[in-house]
Amino acid sequence: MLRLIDGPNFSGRTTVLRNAITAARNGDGRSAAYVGPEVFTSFSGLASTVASELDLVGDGCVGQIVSALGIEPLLDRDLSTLSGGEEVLCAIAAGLACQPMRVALDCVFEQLDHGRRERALGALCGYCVGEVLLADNRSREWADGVAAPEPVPAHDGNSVRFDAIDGEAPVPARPEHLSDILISGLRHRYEHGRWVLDDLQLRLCPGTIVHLAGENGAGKSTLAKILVGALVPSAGKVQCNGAVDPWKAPGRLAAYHFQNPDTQLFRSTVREELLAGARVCGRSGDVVAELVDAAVIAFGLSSVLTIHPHELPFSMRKRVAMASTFACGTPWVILDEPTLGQDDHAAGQIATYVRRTAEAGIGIIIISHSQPFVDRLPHQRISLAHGKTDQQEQHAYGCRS
Amino acid sequence: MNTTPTARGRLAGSLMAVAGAVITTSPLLLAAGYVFLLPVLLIGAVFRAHLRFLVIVVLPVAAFALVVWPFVMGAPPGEIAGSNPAGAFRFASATVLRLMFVGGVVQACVLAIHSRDLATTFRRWGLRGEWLIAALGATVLAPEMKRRADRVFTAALARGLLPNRSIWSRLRVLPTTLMPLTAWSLRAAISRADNWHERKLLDRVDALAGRPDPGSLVVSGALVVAAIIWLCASISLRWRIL
Repeated sequence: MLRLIDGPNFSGRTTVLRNAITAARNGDGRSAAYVGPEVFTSFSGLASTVASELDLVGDGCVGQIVSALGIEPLLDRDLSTLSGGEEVLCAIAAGLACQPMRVALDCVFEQLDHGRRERALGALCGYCVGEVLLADNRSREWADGVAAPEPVPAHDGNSVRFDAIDGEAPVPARPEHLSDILISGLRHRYEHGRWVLDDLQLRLCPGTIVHLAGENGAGKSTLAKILVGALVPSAGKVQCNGAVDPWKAPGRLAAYHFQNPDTQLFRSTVREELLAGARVCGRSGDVVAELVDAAVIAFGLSSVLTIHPHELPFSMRKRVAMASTFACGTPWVILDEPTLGQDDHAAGQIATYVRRTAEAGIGIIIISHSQPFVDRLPHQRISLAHGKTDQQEQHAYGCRS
Repeated sequence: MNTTPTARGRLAGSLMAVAGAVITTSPLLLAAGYVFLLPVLLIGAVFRAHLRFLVIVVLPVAAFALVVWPFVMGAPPGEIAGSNPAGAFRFASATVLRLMFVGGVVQACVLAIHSRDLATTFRRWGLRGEWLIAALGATVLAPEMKRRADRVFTAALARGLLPNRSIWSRLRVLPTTLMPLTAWSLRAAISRADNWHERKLLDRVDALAGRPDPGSLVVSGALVVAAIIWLCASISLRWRIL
């Protein structure tokens, strides 16, 4: 049986799911499985590959679960090399493999594309012997006819009050240098892997919102890491403002908001975190203050400025990471699954803020599987498949000058 | 053809091989044993890892031992300095060869196990419960930490906190990058402890002993016989029994 747990951020959905799992475990002695937004921690930590993880936790019918989820090609992959969506599917498989009485999925479906979400739902309904509890901020986008949502009463146990995101907040100052990004012959593959990007040709115009679409594992995050300068491609060129190849000066052309915020929070308070990015490019104190103030107001962080970022809940850590990305004040901002863990209201406000930022002349690249979120924005869609875009030439030469 | 030994054959062969290497003081026997070990490392697909071990660990130790004992001390331990340079050279070369051999045996024994068979193999070696979890966790800890650190460095690069991926740059920002790494690891450890409890992982890994061993009895037998011969040769040479 599938049950949807419905409620906004901080309403207590995670508490409900956790309690349900504890009750199931204590009840009849059978196992239960929880998969949260920090998906990697759902793995046992005792196995290196997908196959060995499933073999370790699985009781039986592992093969059927694997084919129901369509993850056969991932079996020999190292767990830490999976993309966000692939990680979710493998975590669901590991959860189902232990034949649990109850499975709880907390904001993980948001990372799946449409096809994989359907497969995951089918596998959950087919192989969970008991109950599937699903909390998902985007469930209204896909859950029609699947199950009726059950509202969750607002949770009053939070010791810290969080402000809402304000999409109408002032946008960052327009950066001095704005230019097209010209990508030519870009190729990349990871060690012993297939070509994730294969002779990619693209032209990205400043002040536009680009939706980088594609299935899980299509190479979207890889392209983003190359643009930001964090990854050196196997071959190819990226040109912008006459400068070549962002990996020679990382973090100057674009700022990247990672799917998992925990990797990019380095400082001991939220304020320090926001200041760190803004100071990187050697800006004056006034500009830094302006960038940070704008980010604080926009992402509702004024009440948590002195708090350690890692003490905040996932959705707030995601907001802090997003705010620090905007506070960098770079000509381009890349947002990887910006609505992950954010409820409908927050997602709407993020959309408004992104639109206004683009109108101010900053280029935005969005990687998201939430189509309604993307549809709220005037955007250019670039679809990646097999390391190429669907309309290479159009993207390469069709840009307004 | 199945070239994988059974879990118990692997352990017995390895223990006898290491015992033989500890007992013998003959560089010639150690060299012979090492030559026999090389094809085992090749078949187990751990030869590259062994080469890395030779370069990173053995080479510096060898350079130091083969200079200090024959040329600086001029005698093996327990003798008057400068009295026996040839004996010192024999001692140094035996030490280096022993290190190469024991390192190779441990790599052939543990690293050659397919990740899918790791838990069942450890279980058959007699590890159970928390010891088994600790052993399994130890095998994946280093690569996982390396990859996590890599993700953190990637994020630091993306933020412009690092100019490039060089070792020097990484060392410079190490204090900054340790924070997300530690916070991430602690959070993962707490979540995993819950998950193990919820999924009854301790019961599951204990039940692994009941699974059939995919290893070949012939290969195990051959390995154990070779290890017995090696051990007997070591004992007989050391105490001149034969």
